[in-house]
Amino acid sequence: MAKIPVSMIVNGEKVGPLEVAEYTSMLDFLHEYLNLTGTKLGCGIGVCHACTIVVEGEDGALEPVRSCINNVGRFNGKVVTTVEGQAELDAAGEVVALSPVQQAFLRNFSFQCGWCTAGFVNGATALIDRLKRDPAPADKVEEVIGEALGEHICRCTGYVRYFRAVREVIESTPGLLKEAE
Amino acid sequence: MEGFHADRRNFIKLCTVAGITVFAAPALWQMGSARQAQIASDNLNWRGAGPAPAFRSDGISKVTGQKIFGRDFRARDMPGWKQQQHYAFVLRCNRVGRSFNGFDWGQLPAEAQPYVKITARTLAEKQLKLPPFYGEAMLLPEGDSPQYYGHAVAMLLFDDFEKYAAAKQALQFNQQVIRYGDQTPPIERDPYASWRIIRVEGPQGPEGEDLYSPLQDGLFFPSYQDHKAQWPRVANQTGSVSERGIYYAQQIRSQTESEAGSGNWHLVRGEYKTQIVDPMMMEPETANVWFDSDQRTLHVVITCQSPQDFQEFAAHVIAESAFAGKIKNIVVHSSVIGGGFGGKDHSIFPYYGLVAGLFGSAPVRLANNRFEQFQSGLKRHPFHMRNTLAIDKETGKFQSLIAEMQADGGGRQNFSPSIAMVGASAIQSIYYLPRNDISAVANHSMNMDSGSMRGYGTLQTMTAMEMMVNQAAEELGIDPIELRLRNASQTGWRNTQGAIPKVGVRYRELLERARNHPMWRERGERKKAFEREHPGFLFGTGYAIATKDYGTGAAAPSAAIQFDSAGRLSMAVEYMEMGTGISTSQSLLLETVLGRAADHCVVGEVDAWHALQQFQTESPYTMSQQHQDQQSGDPLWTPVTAMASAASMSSYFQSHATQQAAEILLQQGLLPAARRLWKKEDLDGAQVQWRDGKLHHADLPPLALTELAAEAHRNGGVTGAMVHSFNRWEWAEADFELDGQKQAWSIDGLALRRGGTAEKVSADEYQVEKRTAVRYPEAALNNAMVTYYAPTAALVEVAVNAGTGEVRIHGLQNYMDCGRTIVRQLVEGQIEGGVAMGIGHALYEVLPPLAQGAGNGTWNLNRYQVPLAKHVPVWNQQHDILPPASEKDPHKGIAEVVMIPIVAALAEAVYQATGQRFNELPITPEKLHRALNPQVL
Repeated sequence: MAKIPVSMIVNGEKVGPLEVAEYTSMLDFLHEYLNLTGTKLGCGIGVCHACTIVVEGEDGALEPVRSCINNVGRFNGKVVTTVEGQAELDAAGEVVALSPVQQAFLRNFSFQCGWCTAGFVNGATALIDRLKRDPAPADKVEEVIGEALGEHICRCTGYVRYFRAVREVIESTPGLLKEAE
Repeated sequence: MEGFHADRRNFIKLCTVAGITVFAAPALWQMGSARQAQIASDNLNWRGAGPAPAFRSDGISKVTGQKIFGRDFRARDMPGWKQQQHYAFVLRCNRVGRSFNGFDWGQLPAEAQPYVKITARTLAEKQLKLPPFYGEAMLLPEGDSPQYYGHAVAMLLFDDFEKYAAAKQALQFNQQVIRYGDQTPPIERDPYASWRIIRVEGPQGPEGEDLYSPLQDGLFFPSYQDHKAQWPRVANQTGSVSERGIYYAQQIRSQTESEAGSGNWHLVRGEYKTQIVDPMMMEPETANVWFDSDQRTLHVVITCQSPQDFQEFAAHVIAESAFAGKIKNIVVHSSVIGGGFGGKDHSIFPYYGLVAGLFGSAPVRLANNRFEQFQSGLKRHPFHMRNTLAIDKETGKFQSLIAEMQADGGGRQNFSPSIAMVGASAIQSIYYLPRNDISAVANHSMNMDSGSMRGYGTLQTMTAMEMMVNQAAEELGIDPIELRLRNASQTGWRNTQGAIPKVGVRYRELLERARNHPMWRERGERKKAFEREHPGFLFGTGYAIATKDYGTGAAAPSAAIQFDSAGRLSMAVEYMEMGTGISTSQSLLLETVLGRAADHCVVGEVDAWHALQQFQTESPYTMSQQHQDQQSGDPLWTPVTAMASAASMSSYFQSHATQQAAEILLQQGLLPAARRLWKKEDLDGAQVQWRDGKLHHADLPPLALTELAAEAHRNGGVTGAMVHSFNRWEWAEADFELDGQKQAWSIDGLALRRGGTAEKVSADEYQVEKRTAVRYPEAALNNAMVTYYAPTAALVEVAVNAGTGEVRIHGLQNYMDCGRTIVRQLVEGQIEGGVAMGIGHALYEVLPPLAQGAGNGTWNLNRYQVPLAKHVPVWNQQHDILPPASEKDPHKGIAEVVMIPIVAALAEAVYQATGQRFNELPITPEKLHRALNPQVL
C-alpha cells in the first residue's frame, strides 16, 4: 500500500503531515484518522451527498465537495470545513452560536434522523457563499436551491423543510439576490 | 464523556439470562445532550418561549455533527475500552443454486491479511448459533448451497483500518474468493404462515352480531402440500370453526358470482403486484463490539430499533455457546438511529457484529457500506394479490371482497407471518364490507429476507384496494369520492375481522374536504387548460384515502416523571428516538398537566423500570383467558414488561403512559403540596389549572411549580411517578390504595418516589405500589387483530411527459386526521417525508428479485432510484390537518400511514392523464414510456 504525506487545515486546525494510504477517501480520513464523524457515509459512491464538506478555494470561495469519492490527496494543503466546524464553539468546545444555515434548519424542523444534515449544512453554506459573490435573480431562488441541493438525499422529511430554510436564509441575508431578470 | 466511567457501578443491571448479567449503559448520545443542557442560552434552548417548541430537543447535536449515532463511535470514544480499533468484513454469496466449496484466500492482498477468519466451522466449534427467531446457518457451511442471495459465508477480522480497507477493496466484488461447485436444486420450504379472514355480516347489519367472523368464531389454518397452503375443504354451517368458515367463504364466492351473473353486482377483478423495496435508511447498520476477556465482559454498541430484544437474545446466544464461561456480563450501548423505517427492527445484523467481537483481540467494528446494506438489509415484502371487489350497481355499495395474497418473505422468516396478517386485515381500508374472504400466505423464497418496513404490509394491500375503488368508480360512472362516501365505514361498525374500531372515524369529513377542493372540483377544466398550454404533456388528477392501523395488540409502554426541589422536571420513557422527535413531543406533553415541558428527557430507558418489579409469563398473543385471570391475581404480573420501538407507536401508546404518570404526579405530589400551601384541605383537583407556568385555583394566589416542588420535597411527599401500562386494543385498568384512598388509573404497574435526590430517573429511588385489583382487556381481543386507525388522504395532480414517461407532480393536497397533534412541525415533517417515500414507492423504487436483485451485492443509489427533490413537490404541497374532534381525541400514530394514499392517488392520476392503468408497482418512467410509445422497441 503506497502511502502519501497529507497535511491540511480542518476546521481551523492544522492537520498532519500524516502518512496515509494513497487511496484513502477523504471520508475515511476524517473518520479513522481525525475521529471527525460528523460527516456521514450514505452511499460511498458520490450519489447521495450526505458526505459533503466545504473546501476553500484560493480566492476564498467555498466549494462543496463529496468526501466519499475524493481521495485524501486532493485536499493536501487545502482549508477544509466539516459540519463540526460550522458552529461557533467556546474554548471548552461547547456550542455558543450556530451559523445562519444551522439556525434555519433548526427553526424549520428540517431534519428528523439527522443523517443527511451535515451534507445539507455544508451544501447550503457553500451556496450562500456563492450567492454573496454572485447574487441570483430574485425570481430564481427556487431554481438556485434546486440546482445546488437537488441531489442531496433525505429519507425522513422529503426536502420541503430544508429548501424552505435555505430560502429563508437567502431572502433574509442582504446581498444574495438581485433584481429579477 | 464526562460523568461516565468504565466502572461497573455506572452500568445498570438489566437482567440475568442463563447466568449472564445484561447491563444497559447510559445511551451514548445522551452524554452529548446532557453536556449541551449546561450551556443552553436562550437561542440555544429547544423549548423557546412560544407555545410550540423552538426546535427539536436533539436538534443542536444533529446540526453540529456531534457523536450521537451508533456508527459514530470508535473504540477510542468509548470510556474504558481498549483504544485500538479492529475491523470486520463479511463475505456474502452473490448467487444460489451451486454448492459452496470453500475459499480462494489467494485473492487477499499480501499486505491485507486478516488475523482471524470466522467460518461456519468456527461457529460450530464454539457452538455459536443465531437466536431461533432468525433461523439457522448464520454462516453457510462448506458443501451446502446458499439458502438465499446474500447468504454470509465468512467474517474476516483485521487489526488496522488500512488492511481492512485494502482487503475490502479486493474482495467485495471479487468473483473468485468464494468457490462454487456443483449445481444444486432450489431450496423450497413451507410457507412461514397463512391467514384467512372470513366474515359475513348478520341480519342486524354492521353493528350487530356477525354470522361468522374471526373475532367471534376464531381462526383456522391450512395444511401444506408441496409447500403450498391447502385450506380445509369441508363446509358445514354448524360444524367446527374451519367448517363454518369454509361454508361462509363458499357462500361469499358463489353469491358474488351469481349476483354478477344476473347483472346486479359489478365486479372489479385484478392482479395487483408490489415490488421489493429497500428501506434505504440513511445510516447503514453498524456494530462495535469489545470482548474484554480480563473482565469477562462483552461491550456492544448497536444501531438497532429493538435493543431490548437484542439484549435478551444476545445473552442466550452466548449462554448456549462455548463462550458461556468466559463472559459474565454483557453491556449494551444503544444510540440514536440514523433512520430505520423498520429496517433496523429485529435485523439480523447486530448478531454478526456480536460474533465478530467475540473473536477479536480488540474492539471490532462491523460497518456496512451501502452495497453491503443493500445486500444484507431487510426489505419490504412484495405482495402478489388476486382481488375481486363486488359493488351493487344500483346503490354503489360494496357487497363483497375476495382477496388472495402471497407475500414473499425471503430466506429468513423474520416478521413475515405477522406482516402477512396485518396486510390482510388492512385491505379493507376505510370501507365497510358486509362479506369478506381474505387469505394471505407469507412464503419462503431465496430472496433476501423482508421485515417490518414502514407500513408493515398495509401499504401493499391498501394501495390495491384504492386502485380497485378508483377503477370501480370509473366503470360505474360514479364520482370516486362519492363512491367512497357511500362505502365509508362509520363509528361503531365492524371491520373485516368483526371487531369495532376503538376510536371514532372521521372518513366522511376527510372525503368531503377533498370533494370541495378546486383541484378536485375543477379537475376536468384544469386538465384541458394544462394540456392546451403544455403540448406533449398529459395531465391527470388522482385521489386516494387510507387508514392505517397502529399498534401491536400488546403494547406495554412505561414512563416516569419526577421533579427536583427546584421544580425541574425530569422524565424517562421506554420508547426509543428514531428521529421522529419523541424526546421533543414527550417532553412537551407534560405542559398541560404539570405546567411546563420536561427539562430533561431520557428516551430508550431500559433499566429504571425494574423498580416496578414486574414479570411476564406467556406470549400475550396466545395466552388463554384462564392463564390471564390466574396470573393477574399477582399484583406484579403483567402480560408484557417491555415493548419494541415499532413505528407509529410513540404518539398514542407512549403518550398514554406519559400522561398517566403526569396525572398521578399531579394528584399525588403537587396537589397535596398545593393543599398545604393554600391551606385548603378540600381542594378539588378538577378545579385547578395551569396558566403562565403557575397553578391557579379560584382567587387563591397562583403557585409556581418551584414552590410546589419545594413543598413536596420538604414534606417527603411524592416527587416522582413511574407507570407501566398495557394495551390489547384497550387499556388495562388497575386500582391502587394510596394513603387509604382507592385510586383507579389506566395502568397496571406503579412505583412512586418520595423525596429523593437523583437528577435522572433511577430505579433505586422508587418504591413499588402494588395494585389491589386489575382489569386486563380480554384475551379474545387477540383475534381482533387491529382496532386503532389513523386516516389520511391525498389529492395529486401529475403532468406526464408523453415522450419520456417522466411524471412530474404538479400539485399535492394532503388530508390527515391525527387526533390531537403534539408538535405540529413534527407532524408536518412526518407527512412530507411520507409523501416523498410514497412517491418513491409509486414511481421509482424497485429491486428485482433473485439473481438480479440486491442480494447480488452490486446495488447502490446509482441504480436504486430514491425520490430526489425534483421528484417531490417541494414548493407546492399543502396539508390539511383536521382539528381534533375533542379535547379527549387521542394522539394518533401517523408515521406509516401518510405514504399509502400517495401511491394509489399517483397511480390514478397517471391513469387519468394517460388512460393507462397500472396494477403493478412502481410505474417507472421506462414503463410509462413504453406504454405510451408502443412503437418504440
